[in-house]
Amino acid sequence: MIGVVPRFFYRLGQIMMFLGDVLKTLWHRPCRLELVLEQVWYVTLQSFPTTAMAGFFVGGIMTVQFAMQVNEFGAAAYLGGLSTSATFREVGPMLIAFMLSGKVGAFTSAELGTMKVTEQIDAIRCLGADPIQEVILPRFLGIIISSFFLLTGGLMLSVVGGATLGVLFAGINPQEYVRHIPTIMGWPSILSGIVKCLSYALVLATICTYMGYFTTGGAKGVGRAVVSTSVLTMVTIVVFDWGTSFLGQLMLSWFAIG
Amino acid sequence: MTTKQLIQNPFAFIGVLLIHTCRDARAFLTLVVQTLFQLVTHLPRKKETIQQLYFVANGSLWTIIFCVCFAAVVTMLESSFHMKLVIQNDSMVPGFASLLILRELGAIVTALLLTSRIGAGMAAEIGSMKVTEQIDALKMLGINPIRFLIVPRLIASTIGCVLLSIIANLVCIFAAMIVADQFLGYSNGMFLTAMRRFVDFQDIIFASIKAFCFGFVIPLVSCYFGFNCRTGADGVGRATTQSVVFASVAIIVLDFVLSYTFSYFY
Amino acid sequence: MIKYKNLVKSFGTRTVLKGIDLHIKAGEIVFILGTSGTGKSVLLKNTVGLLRPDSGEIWIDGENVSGYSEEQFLSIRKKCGMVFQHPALFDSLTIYENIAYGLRKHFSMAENEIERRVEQALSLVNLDNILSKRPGEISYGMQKRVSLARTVVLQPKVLLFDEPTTGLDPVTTNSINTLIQSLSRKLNTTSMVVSHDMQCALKIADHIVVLDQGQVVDQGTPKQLLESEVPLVRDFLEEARNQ
Repeated sequence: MIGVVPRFFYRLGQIMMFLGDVLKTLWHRPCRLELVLEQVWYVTLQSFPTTAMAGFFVGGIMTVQFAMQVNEFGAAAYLGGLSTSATFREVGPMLIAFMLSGKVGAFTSAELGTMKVTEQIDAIRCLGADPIQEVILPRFLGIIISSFFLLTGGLMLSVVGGATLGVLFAGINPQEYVRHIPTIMGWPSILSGIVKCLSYALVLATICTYMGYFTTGGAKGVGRAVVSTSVLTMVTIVVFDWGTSFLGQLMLSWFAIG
Repeated sequence: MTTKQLIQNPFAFIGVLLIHTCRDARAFLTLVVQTLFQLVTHLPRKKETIQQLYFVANGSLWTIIFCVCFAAVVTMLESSFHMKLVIQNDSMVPGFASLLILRELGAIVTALLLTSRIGAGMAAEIGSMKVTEQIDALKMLGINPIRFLIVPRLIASTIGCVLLSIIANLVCIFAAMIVADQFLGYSNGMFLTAMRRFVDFQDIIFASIKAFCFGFVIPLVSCYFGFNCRTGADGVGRATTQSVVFASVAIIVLDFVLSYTFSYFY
Repeated sequence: MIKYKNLVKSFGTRTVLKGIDLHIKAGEIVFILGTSGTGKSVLLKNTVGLLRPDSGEIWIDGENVSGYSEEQFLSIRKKCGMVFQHPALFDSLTIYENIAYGLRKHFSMAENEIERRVEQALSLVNLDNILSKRPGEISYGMQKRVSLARTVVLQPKVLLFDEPTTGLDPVTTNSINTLIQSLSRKLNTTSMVVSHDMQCALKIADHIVVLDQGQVVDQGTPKQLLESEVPLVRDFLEEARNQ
């Protein structure tokens, strides 16, 4: 138990230094655009079904839960707005990001870890290239860009999922479901959703490239890297979720007063 | 299977995809049936099961408590925000939030965290056993790998998930109570009274049933991918990734089905 | 050509190299033998800056490289090519692109010149007709040879081999060993080979160094080694004779 705290700060420092290295490389020696676009295309294509499905079901679950409560108050008309807003601001980004950390994060750290343990990363250095520039940076940027798209796409589908379940479960017709969305969903909600998506994308990209790049110890090491990637990403996402919500609240009260 | 093939011949692509899916589903179901058979016909290995239970439950406890606390804080603040929007006051928040925690949040956050820790861990462990031919070695010794490896993990994970979700629910409610007291101005007494009005005992039972199902699915999916791991460092990574993805999707879908089913009993 | 002075490297609490003093002359084939885990590979990786020594000096071609930065090491890596234990080919690139990779990074070269050099390198390792294949589609022994070609194509002055024959069948082992010998002679390079294989060391090495627990226990020409009194060397010789 005692050893946990120093180890935590050691890890945190290492991750920060790694992130610094990546950003420095981005500033001084950016990688080729094709490499980034290739990654974006690859990641998006590969993970879209998963995130779409997750988004759809998350929207559905939220609607089912809200419908039971809202019906008690006879406020069924607000169902659409409520469940969409809750999904957008909170549950949606988080659960879809969990999904992505399993899919994209684990895959990337497995891929980079394999490259590391089979000495491909060393080979790149030996052949006169910078592995951070050639391998890490395209994946880092690609993951940020595509997980942002994937998260927003998942959120869109969560609205569809919510509306479908609203029709099937609560017996509200789609028009009515959609009509009250704008009354509850202001710009702040959308903005908070987008900020959340961005910050999760950054967390995901940093952690999975870091874990992959520092893998040691053969096939077992790759497995270990994947496990710690997904655990660490999830925990960090939960913390960031709280952080962004807290910041959002702060901003709201600021602007309300000012 | 590449994008190029998809564009060149979509029908062949879909056909191949369908065949692959059916074959994988069959293999998975076979594994499930074999595991259940072994579970019923043989006594589980006690020591291994307890070791696994320690790994599942004790190893994940702090992570889960930590995450669930944060989740509870966010849920409280957010539902207060929404309630103020719709009915101009947030007097229902304690009740609603505790309902949401018990019905959804506690079980699903626990399960998703377990997937990434336990599920991925099991897939990596069994995958590297497969790669280093330890599973073949077990077979040569006349030991049934399903009984030896999967059954203890299945029991441990199921029990562990139920226990952890109960603890998670408890901690989550406590955290929510503290937030309500500190930020929203509801005393603990008000929180508990409101909660009493909304929450029934069956909610706790249903939450445990959910956790039971999630805990049952995770090791089966992970062990399936672990057993079908291809050789090399590449294969272990892939197996681990796939097991996390499939288990999380399975959990979300299962959660949806269970929520839908339970909604008829309230 | 390469000089190590009192080289020390440790990982955490485990000291792997405990003060290595070695001198490798230009144009020689030097075999570094030792049991697993005695720091043979670590020695090679220190030479090209993939790992950095804790203390001690490394001199390559009259330059003290031990304090070099990553950028400064680029010129050293152009001079010293390393062949890894795993083939370490990039899975996403074709064989042609794999071999051309270093040429593109180190030199700015016209495409037809690159093509010529790649084909030349492949013929040196006795391979052809695989340019457009991917690493996964060819056998392990072929991958090893492609990896050799990828290093040789840069025309380095020093070749470092990290266990080039581990995990290969006797026939391929033999062909790789012959390849190492002929390449070194043909391209007039200095070669350092990390290996367990005393038999082939006796056959092709000019100089043999035996490491044990991070220290040099014996070194000399194959003839001198045959007379050695060090127990570990005797074990190795015994093993080689039995094969």
